[in-house]
Amino acid sequence: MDHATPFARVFLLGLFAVIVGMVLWAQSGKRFFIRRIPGLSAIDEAVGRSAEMGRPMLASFGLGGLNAQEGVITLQALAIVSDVAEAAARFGNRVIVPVRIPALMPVAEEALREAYTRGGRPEAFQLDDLMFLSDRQFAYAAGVSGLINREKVASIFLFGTFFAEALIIAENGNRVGAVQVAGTPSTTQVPFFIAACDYVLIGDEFYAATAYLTRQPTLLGAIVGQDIGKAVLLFFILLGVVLTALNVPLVVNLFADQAVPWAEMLRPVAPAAGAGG
Amino acid sequence: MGKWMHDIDRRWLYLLLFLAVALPMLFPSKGGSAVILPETQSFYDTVERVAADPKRRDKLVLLVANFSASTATENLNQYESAMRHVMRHRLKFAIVSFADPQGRELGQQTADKLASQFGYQYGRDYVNWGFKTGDIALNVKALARDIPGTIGKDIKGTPLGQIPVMQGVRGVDDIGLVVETASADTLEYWLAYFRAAGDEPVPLLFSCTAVMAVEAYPFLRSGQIQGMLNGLKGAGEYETLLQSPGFATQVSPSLSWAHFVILFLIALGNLSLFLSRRRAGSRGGA
Amino acid sequence: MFTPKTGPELWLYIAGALLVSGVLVTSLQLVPGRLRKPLIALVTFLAGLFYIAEFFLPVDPTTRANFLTDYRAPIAQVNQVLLSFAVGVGVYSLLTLHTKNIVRRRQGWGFSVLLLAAMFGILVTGLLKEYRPNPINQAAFSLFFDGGLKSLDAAMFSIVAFYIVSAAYRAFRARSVEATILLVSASLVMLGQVSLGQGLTAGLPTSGFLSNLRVENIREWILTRASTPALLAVELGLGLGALSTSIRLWLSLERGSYFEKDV
Repeated sequence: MDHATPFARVFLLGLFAVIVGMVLWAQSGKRFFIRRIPGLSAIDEAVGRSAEMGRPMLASFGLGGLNAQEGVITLQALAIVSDVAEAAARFGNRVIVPVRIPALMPVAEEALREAYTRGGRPEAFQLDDLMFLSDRQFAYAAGVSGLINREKVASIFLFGTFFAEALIIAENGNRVGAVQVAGTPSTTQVPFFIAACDYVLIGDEFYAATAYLTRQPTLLGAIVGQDIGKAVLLFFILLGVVLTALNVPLVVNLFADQAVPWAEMLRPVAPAAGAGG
Repeated sequence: MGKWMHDIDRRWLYLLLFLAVALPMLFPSKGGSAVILPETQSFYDTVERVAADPKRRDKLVLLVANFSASTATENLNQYESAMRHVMRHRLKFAIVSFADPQGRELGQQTADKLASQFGYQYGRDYVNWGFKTGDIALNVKALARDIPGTIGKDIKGTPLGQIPVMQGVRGVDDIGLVVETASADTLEYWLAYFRAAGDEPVPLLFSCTAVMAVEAYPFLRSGQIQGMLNGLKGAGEYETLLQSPGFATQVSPSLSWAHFVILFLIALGNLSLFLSRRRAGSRGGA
Repeated sequence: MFTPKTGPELWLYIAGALLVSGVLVTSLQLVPGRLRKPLIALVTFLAGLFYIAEFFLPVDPTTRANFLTDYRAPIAQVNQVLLSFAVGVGVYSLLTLHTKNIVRRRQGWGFSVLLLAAMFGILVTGLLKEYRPNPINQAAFSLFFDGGLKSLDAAMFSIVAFYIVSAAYRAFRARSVEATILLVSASLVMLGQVSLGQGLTAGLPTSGFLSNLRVENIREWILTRASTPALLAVELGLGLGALSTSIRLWLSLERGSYFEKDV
């Protein structure tokens, strides 16, 4: 969709209003409930294990950059990693954070410094543990695998965008016996994480992580807002199934890439160019 | 027995896979006749349909090389077959990469390899826009409206406006077909910002690594992409349809045996689980 | 919409851009600490507003554009330039870390020497190939790029196949009913994927009821009728999650997660 169709304008602005509305409601004192997410409950366990064993932890916020699609994922992953670092600071652990995108170095440095301060040990933050490895995907994977094996890390946290290197990193973690917690919106990599990690966040659990870990009203409100959006979309899906079965293409036309005039909402859908056969 | 299987050194498993891949290459045999999967057939049919469509055949085809040498075994074979198919019909095309600078070189190497066979000439019949760094989403969105403004110059440093094959090419409406070969999830940029940005939706074909294919099936079912090549297997099927057997066809037996080795090991792992449970059961009963 | 400049005009523009950047950077340094966060929030808001307004504002039906649409390409280029500067930060981090490793003779310092040598090798040969193209410089670059980087990239990717074997051996076990369903469906998809597997049911007819039992058709059914809807449901949640997180970031409602505790 190059530009918003009239329906998209109404629909998306409606979703926007619902999410912002829920955030404001939460900030005004409304308490929202969030269910237990086992993968996130395991973070403290993994940090504690690392402290007991006296070995470092490794946390990666993925291979995504700051571009339109990956930027949101990367910043969310960085937020989760800084919560992990805060827990590590409380336990007096060392966290190694390898970075792929150079532009993220200053952002990550500030976020980790703040996390160590929140954890009560600002002096424990070591700048050398935040390291740029390479912006080449497999050079990064090789670097992280090397760190896992040399440092014999006790726990590994993998959050953010991952590609084919996901299994390389996770299998190396499995080989050294590290407790591994992973969460990624890259759906193709989830099966690999499930095969090699101890706990995996699936789907939008990834976006719920910071709300779950910090219980901040703003974040909880946004989660509730997105759940209302999910219910609305589910309604349209069910309506679409019923109407399409009855040969009424209303919902298909409403969600079409190009604007369909309101008067023609019931016209049959044109096939895509080049399609057919 | 069960314990041995449970504690097996993983290097034995790696050796088994290595042999399953290497031996069929060293001792080639005639692989089983491949069934053409529907997504490969529709990939082939779409190129045929565009070539036969008077409204589209004079427009530029985009051969997007969003991959690097790491996935060349899958992607480069797909890319080469797609370029061969386009050249057979004498369609004009542009090579471009948004995801990796190596895509620019690999695309050009493929064109150099095939150009003399089909009498293609750089600038007259095809062009290489090179690698466009930066945010892929923003680049693709900008490309839909203003190709010369977004790309600027080709790999030889010539402004696009001065290249014969680029005459009259302004934006999405001057593109007849997009074929994206990719190793990462870049398909959605074309779906969101390019395919439907013009007067009519542009046919979009996707060839990807096998691991990425699962994510593309929903778009195939919805008709947003017209065809797909699924990994090396898809490349082999496409070579069969083009009646031009190449590397992908040649290594088909290796691919088959590798899958069988994985299935065998899964069965072995389950046997180990079964034996250890039985042992635990008999100990519990004693 | 912006035409390339040449000759003295180009140098004038470069000098002007440097001057403006200098003034901007100096002014930013002078901003008091308490105003920095509101300033970041304002810049974030304005940058996001461009794309949101460009997407939502009505367009002229003939040109399919609004007054912001023509700025898309130049803004994409500004973004490219900004990101290019960040490469320096990465190079600085690599240099300081590995120089320290070498100077302090930390364990594995030899690898740091190798890394720095490879980094400067590909940088220098790349520049020579671009600005002094001759067969020797091209061969030197090819040694690093084709002989080194490309081969190492391909080798690392191929390792995934080996790790899939060990992960599948360990993880695909019939421990429960759900795991057994997963195991059986994965096995059928793998069989339907390759010609040897397809050969197992090649004797069945290609049409009619029995054709449903051909392994490639079972694979197709699992992928498109079982896996795809599940994937779409996950993607739907992810899309909404991304939207909600984007709104928090755009409006700087996100700041509580990092940088400071309180919103």
